Amino acid sequence: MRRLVLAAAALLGLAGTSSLVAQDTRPLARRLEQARGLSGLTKLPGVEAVTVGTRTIPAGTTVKGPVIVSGGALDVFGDIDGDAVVLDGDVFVRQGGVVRGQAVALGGRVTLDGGRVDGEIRSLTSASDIAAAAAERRALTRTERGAVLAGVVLLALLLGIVTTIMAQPVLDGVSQELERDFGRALLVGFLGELALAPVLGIACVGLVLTLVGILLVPVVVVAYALAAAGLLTLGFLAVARLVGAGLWGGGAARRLSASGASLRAVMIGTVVLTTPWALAVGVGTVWPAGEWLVVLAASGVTWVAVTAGFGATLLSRVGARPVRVSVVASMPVDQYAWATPTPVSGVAAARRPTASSAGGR
Amino acid sequence: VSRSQRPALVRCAALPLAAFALATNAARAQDWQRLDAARPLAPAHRDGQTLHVRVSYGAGTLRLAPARDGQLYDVQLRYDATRVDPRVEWREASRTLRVETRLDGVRFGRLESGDLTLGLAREVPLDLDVQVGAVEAQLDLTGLQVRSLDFTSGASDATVRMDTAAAVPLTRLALQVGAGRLRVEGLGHARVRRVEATGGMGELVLDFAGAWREDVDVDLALAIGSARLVVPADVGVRVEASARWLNQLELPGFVERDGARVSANWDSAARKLTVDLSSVLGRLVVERP
Repeated sequence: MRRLVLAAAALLGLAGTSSLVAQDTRPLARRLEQARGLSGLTKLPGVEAVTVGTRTIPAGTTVKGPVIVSGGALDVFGDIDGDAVVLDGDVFVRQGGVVRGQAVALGGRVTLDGGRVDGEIRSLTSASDIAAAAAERRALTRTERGAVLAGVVLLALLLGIVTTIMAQPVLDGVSQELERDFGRALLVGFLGELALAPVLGIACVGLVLTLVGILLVPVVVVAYALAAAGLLTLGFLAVARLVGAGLWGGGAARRLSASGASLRAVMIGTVVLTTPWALAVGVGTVWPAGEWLVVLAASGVTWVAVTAGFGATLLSRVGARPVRVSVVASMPVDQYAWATPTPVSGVAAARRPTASSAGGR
Repeated sequence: VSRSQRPALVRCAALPLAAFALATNAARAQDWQRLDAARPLAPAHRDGQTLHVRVSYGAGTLRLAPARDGQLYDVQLRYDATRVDPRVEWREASRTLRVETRLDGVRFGRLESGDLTLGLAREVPLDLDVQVGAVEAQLDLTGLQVRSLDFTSGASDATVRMDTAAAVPLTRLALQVGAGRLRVEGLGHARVRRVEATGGMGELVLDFAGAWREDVDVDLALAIGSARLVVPADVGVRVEASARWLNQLELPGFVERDGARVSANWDSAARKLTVDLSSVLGRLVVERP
């Protein structure tokens, strides 16, 4: 009885296994049939001839075709005397490699990397594969990234020059707001960035509800985008000026005119704030794994600069808010006046000026 | 918003949403694929035998031009696999390349069209048979050895051009235009002796600019379409038209002679173009650039 049960179990297990095998090979068989239809190679063998995973034909070897690979690449350094077919993968015919028949990639590409295909090269790729390939092609090289960075820095410098010349009072107002309370500017800037899209949405909905205003929606969207970009740029330049003045605002700067010192500060600050990006490009060449860390740091620096600047721009009402200057701080104070009560005023003694009272707002 | 305005507002909001839903549904229903097929130019292909190319393309954009060096042909086809069944076949024995797209079923609504780019070897004599439906087609035959061209167009906007003198004479040029527009440029370069052109309701423009080597005969059959022939000023032109009272002929500077209209330089011209027009309600214009 026990033997009977074991035999039945074995039979069931065998049936289950064979069923699983049949299920596993069915998609592959379908794919192979598609390959036959695509290539016109009607005499391709069945799934038993398919290699699953990447396969390499070494240099100096000759393999009788067809060679069929599924779910991996076929690297041909040697000689395939017949057709090469890859299902869901690429065919690479490397230097010295030869395919004497057709080279077919279903769900992949055929790349001639110095090799030769005597027959037809045929491939079928889906839109997602094409998009991935396009994205791959779009990835910038390190040199291109360096060139883009240089272009961005030059553009920022140009904008800095124009802004300093054309709108220095505005830049002054935003910078002073930053000096007053950087943390508050950062917070307001962050909230402002969060509100950018909702405000535009509300404005558009409002225009649509008026029906007549629907025509204005595209104009408003473009104008809003330009205005937002302008405010963000102005904020960044104000932060750059602050950084530049902080680093090199000593004796040399005092010898310059106000606008000259401001321009110099903007230039220096812009270069300083974009330096982390240059480091990111440079670090990647010697330490690719650490590149993302530097990119993260550079992104953080840029974000803080732009956000705080944006907040200061909003708080200063684009530099139009009057700057509150401490009268006490600007008045000349006799160093010993506190110690010399005068009979004229009849005051027994004055308070000694302290740092908090002199520099208070 | 008053109560009476609310239903209208709801409809206003619902309509774009419904349109968006339909559009996204249509977009999801598509499956875009790309088929590439290229064959290297083997020494055996340079034996002077003609490469026969048969193209049948329904809707989309078609570009035909010389292939990259070392390629006999190079086909790139982007299509929606849910509605198009493509076929690219090569028969070595007859040296025939067949590129076809068949519409699979009928779909309504505006769907994005695909595109077909076909490159052909400069080194091989060609026999081209191109049939297009509603296609925007550009056939650049400059540098190709075209011996024969049959071009049939349904409702397409097509341009065929030759910018330099052909290496081999074009022994057959047959053009059929249904309701679209076909412009052939640089026919003077083609070394063609006879042009057969049929126009239904469409517009046909034949520009004979180029390096003329021999006289040309044009067999022109028009239903209710129009044909415009642009002929270099030094070429003599003769137009023989049947049922002339029903046609509209614009032949500035032409004179009546022996039942035909001839240009003023007909007797003195070194090269001559003869047009045999059979038309119902067609319009023929001969322009001198």
